[in-house]
Amino acid sequence: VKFFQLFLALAASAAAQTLPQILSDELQRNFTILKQKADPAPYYMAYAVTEEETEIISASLGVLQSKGKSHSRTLDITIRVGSPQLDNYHVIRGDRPRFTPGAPIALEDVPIAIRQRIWLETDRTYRLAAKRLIDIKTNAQVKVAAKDNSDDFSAEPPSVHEENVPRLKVNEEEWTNRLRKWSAELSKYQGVLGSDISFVARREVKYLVTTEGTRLENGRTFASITISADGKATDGMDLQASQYFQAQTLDGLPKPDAIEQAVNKAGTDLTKLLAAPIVEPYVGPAILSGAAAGVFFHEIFGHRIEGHRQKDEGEGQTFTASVGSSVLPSFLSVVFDPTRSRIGGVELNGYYTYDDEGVKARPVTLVDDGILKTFLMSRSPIQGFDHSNGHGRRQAGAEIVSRQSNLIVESKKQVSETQLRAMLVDEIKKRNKPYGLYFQQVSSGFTMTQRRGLQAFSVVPLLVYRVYADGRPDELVRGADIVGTPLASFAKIEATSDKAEVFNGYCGAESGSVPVSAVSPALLVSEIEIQKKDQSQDRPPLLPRPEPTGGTE
Amino acid sequence: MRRWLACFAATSALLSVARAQDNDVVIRAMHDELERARMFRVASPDPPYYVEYEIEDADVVAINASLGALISENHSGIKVPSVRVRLGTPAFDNANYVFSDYFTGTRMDPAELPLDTTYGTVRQILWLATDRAFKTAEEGIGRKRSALKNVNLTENLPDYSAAPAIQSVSAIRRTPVDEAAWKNRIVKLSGIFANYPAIDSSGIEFQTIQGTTYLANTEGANLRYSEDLTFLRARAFTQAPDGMVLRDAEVFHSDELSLFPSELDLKRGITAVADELTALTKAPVGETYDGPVLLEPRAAAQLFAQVSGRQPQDRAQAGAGARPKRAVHAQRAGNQGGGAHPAGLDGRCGRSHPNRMARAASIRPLHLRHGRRKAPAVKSGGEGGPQDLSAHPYAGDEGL
Repeated sequence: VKFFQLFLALAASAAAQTLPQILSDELQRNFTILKQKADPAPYYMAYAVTEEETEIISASLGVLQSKGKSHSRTLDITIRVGSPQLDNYHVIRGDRPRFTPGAPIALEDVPIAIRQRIWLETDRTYRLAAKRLIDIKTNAQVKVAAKDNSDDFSAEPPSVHEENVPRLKVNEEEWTNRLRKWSAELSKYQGVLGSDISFVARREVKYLVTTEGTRLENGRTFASITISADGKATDGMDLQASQYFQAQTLDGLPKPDAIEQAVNKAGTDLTKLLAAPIVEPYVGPAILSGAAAGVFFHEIFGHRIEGHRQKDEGEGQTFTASVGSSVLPSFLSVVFDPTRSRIGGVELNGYYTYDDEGVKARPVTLVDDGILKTFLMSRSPIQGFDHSNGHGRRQAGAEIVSRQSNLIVESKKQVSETQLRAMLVDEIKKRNKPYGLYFQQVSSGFTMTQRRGLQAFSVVPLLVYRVYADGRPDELVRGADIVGTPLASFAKIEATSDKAEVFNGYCGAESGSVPVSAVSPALLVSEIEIQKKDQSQDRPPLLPRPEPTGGTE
Repeated sequence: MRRWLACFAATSALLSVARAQDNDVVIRAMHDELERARMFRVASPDPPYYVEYEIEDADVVAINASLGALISENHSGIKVPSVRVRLGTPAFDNANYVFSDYFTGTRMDPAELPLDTTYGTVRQILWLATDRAFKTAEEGIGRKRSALKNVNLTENLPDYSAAPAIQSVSAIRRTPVDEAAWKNRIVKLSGIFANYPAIDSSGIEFQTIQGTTYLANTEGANLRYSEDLTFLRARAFTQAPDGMVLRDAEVFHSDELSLFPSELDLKRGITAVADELTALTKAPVGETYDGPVLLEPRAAAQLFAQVSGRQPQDRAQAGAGARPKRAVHAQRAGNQGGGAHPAGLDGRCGRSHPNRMARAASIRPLHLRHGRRKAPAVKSGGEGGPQDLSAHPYAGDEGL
């Protein structure tokens, strides 16, 4: 009887308190006690909870492959001990600590369950923080002084905001049937060995309470459709054709007819790729489509202007000393604007209202007419830049660093796409090259920013065409990756088209995977280098495809 | 070659019987792709003498709760195919070598069958999986041959033994699970620990798995059988005032959901865990001891499992030719690699009698073998518990 009485009391208590209230109460309690009893004492604490509700449906070859719903709440804790000038987050030569537990907590607002978890995780986080501050102070005795002596944490005004994040209303049966129908289309293409069409609907709500008075409850929804078709050429090369649609709402996704067309485009593209010739390593003029150019900028520029890299002695610091100097052609500007939710009817994936440190999102002009003005800043100051500009971001469970949002390339040297192509042909002739290249679609890219690695980047194209100067039709080729180094690559940009394209995706770095967008017009570059793609050596299937006619389904 | 053809002849005849008895699309697709697998002999200097398909189809409901609140719930279906191809002869084949399963190519077959299981999709996936298994076996037998040239073998054992071809196609049984009722029950039971402020962390995990296994091979075996498991694991952790980490757990399990212990029995068992862990926080630290002990029946069984049961099983699993552990079996072993484990199915391993309770680590077989001593008590690096710095949330602000 006692047990059930207690249980009822707990249930009643649960009804009385919401998650933000529980977080606030426990933050106040733990901060007060730790300030009184702990040495070194914390000067700042924050509790963040990321609540995610996700629904996934995937289909292949006309049948439902999988479906599932998940619901999670992840607790992140920030405890800063020492002082804003020197605290436990101070970076020592690339050693980037992780304190936050990224712990799952109760899905229901039951105070006792949530408070207990917070209490234990706070204790663990505090111990790590205190230990590292001692390590930092010891390290300072045996190492040369850092070049950048800026503080470890900036003062920012607290934010208070609460918004209702609506749930996406997914008609599960309708979407399942659509996916079955679309995925059946890919079974018509003989070269497709594996294929998948996935639909994901996600609602993300972020709660943040800090000892500075920030109280946030905000978030957004995500909807995406991913189409992929995989095959293997007779020489063993693995090939993939894909289409990806990302939006904030279900209405932001393309209409069903357009998606079906995209499915068949993936099947057709893969079929053509399987028969395409392999391209040899090459240096010459090229056009990058708007989407490809977006990835190009994200990799070679975006990652190098993230603020925390400018004070980390382990980083390449390509642009650290370039503020006020020319870093891009003078007709180009680059803006990061997380407040833009759409461009030209396309919803942007890098949209948010507050960053993960509670700083209000704002547009930031990084490069103005080719001149570098500032960096992407979290609350970790760097020399000459004392404050955040709302780009402190993370995936739940990771520590916050400065990250990209919506990268937007603006150009004052715009020509039509037809003129841009004519300029490419002129460039091919001028350089006496057998052909130029047109990068129509890319899947991803990566770059290395640390000193111990090469200051290089790679962009992985899906669809690349040879463009001939003599009027022959463009020729699809396979097996090429774009490679280069940042400073040399920027100097080769000659002009842009007058039509911006959007690449929506997710960016992975130290603080996990975060949603981003890259928006750019097509670029004409006088010189770009491609290298051969790594290639599998195993043969295609030895037996023919089975005939699916062995009996009733 | 004759052996190979004979095997397939037997397969055809026996599976035809099974086909007449059961119109299961999975069985038919397995049979038809098994028939096609004979074509691989054309491509290989080492002909395949044995091909096996196994498909595990499991429906899993998992619910986790802590202190009267739901932590997670999940209902998932998994259908995992596995293909084994043996090339050469039973005396010497591609298996039982450390790199037997190392595949250098690209995997095109998905790891799971689709939820919509159709004849065509099962065949498509088995086709690609067999292709990969065959290529892996081809590379594996070459590696094994070259590696054996550099070693002296003290024993020359055959790689595979013959087994009777069993035909058994039993009915598939799936019992509906009242997920809402189980969720309420688990959440409520997890609230028992809320009565015990001395316990720092606790949780209840519940899973009910209903599985069907399909197996067919070129020796003529044709099996379909159900295997279910339901278990509830209650775990609790805390720290003694001197920093020693203390934990306890209890597991309830049943092969049939309908035979699972009653809610009252579950409540009693979980309450016992909470009571005894609380008592442990006040118990004196056990000293190093060498002398007679009394092991209660379950502790004795676990001791034997640790000493004699676990190691042979681990060795068997490590062998390249061993069958992979199946989903239901993996759960039965508490995901701990088999054998008994204090945090797995056997939460009470190593605990001394509550009437004379002393805090100490569990009895370790290694110490018994070499020193016949209890392991020394484990302290967490001299750290104090959280209560050293911050009050337990139950205690309110007055705690310090």
